[in-house]
Amino acid sequence: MKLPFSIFQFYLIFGFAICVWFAFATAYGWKAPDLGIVNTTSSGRSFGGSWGGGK
Amino acid sequence: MKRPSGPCPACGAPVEFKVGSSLVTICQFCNSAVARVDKKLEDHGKVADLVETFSPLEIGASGRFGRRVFTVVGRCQYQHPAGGIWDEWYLAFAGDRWGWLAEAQGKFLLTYEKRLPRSLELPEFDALSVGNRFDLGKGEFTVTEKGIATAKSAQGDLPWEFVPGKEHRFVDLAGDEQFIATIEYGESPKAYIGKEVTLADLELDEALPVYAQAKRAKTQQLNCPKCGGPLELFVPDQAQRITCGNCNSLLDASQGKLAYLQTLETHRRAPIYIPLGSEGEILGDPYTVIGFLRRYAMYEGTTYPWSEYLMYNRKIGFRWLVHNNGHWSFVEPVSGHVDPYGNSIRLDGKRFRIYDRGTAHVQHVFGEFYWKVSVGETVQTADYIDPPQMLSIETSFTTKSEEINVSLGTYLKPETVETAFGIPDTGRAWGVGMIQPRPAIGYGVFLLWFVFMIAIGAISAFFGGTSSGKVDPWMAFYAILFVSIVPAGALIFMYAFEVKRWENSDYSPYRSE
Repeated sequence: MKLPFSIFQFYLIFGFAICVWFAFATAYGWKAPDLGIVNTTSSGRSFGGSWGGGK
Repeated sequence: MKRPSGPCPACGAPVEFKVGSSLVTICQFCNSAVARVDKKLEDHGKVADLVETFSPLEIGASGRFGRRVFTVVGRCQYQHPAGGIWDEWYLAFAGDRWGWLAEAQGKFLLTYEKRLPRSLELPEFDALSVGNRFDLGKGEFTVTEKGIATAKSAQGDLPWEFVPGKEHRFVDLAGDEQFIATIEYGESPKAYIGKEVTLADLELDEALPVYAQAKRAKTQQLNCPKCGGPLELFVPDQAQRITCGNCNSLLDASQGKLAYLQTLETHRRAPIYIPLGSEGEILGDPYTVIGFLRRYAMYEGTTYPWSEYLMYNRKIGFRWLVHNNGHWSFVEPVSGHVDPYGNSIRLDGKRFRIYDRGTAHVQHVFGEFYWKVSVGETVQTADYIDPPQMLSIETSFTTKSEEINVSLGTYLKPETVETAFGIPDTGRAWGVGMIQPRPAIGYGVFLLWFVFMIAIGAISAFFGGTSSGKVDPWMAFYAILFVSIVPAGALIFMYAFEVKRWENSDYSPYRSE
């Protein structure tokens, strides 16, 4: 089966859409939705427990 | 120059050597080999009747090769150690120069005797094996076959001391630029170097003899000597083995008439997708499918079978279509000037990497074949790949011979085969074939990734300095993440594809242990 578009064409449109979205986000000062990634990768402890100098 | 002549020492009939430099002539009256020894004629014994090989050549035929005119003055029939017969024709050129024209399996190999430099020491016959390389004073050559053939019969004049029934130790070699060579290990080794030629190259003065034309007719109807059922032969002048579709007998066709050999098992017959006799065009050339072979390799108790379709084109010769797990490839012979024991082979600027070594067994045969195929026959195999191509090296051994055959396989899409022969769906493979080309993704995707990264950086820099506020770094992180999904996925796919390709190989570069 042959796709009606190439990966390059798909990526060109998809990537361009991301760039447009990012341009709007930065222009209007949108904040990133909190998907948990921010908290888990930010500095400091993000989980409890008794190891690592916890309680 | 007066031609040497005299009474035959066997029967007294007059014999005349057609060429001043010929050493043996066959008496036309008593079929004895008459040799010239010290100006006397000597009887070398009676020769056996010639086996009908339906060659397009005959004694007395003339033509030209390049600009040099020749006449076919002699012929010798050798029995190959594997049982088959091949012809060697002797072409007399002007100036007492001889050409040796070997004819086997529809191929013609024209060689000339080459005086080897005195400083050159040839390896001993017993010390040689297929795959060995050495210099012949005209570059390096690789041993492709070693064996002991028997001079069975002869006709006309011969430029060497033919003795009926005498065994000849020979080594065939392949060199660069399609050169081939033969070394005859007699009392003193003699080397013959040349190239493969076609009938057209020989520019014969007359058309094919009538008998050869008749035999070369498109098909021939015969009857099975076992069951009497009709047999249709597509290449009757080349067939050595034929199977009967009615009683499933394997028949020998090498001696002119058909002879029953054995009854083949039928319960393990694999599906035959391309019916024998089908005609189709593959890679621009028309072929007729004439034989079907099922072979398998055994690995750790599991059999891995595949099917091979033998195809024939009168001008090109024999080719194969190989069907393995839903993957098709077109296979053609190439020069054997390769090292069969290395981890990689270079051919025509390409590097082929070892994929597998093993033993291939013949499980089932159907149709007609140009060699004496038998069920259970085995060959040692070594497969080297550079997708979409593969070099297969098959080495076979008999008590009196070693032979190496090198072939080049090129991947074909199933629809190419289906369209060529007008056959229905042959199935599609789930896995990755060993020479299946990886779907093209192209560098464009990765270049675009750089462009998008630069765009995200530029947008951040531009809006970061405006009054609307600063750029949320996590928003930038998500943007980078999203634009990286496609190229990252492409890289993972390419890696997984190659891992899958090599999963059945003992030489996989992706193996962890």
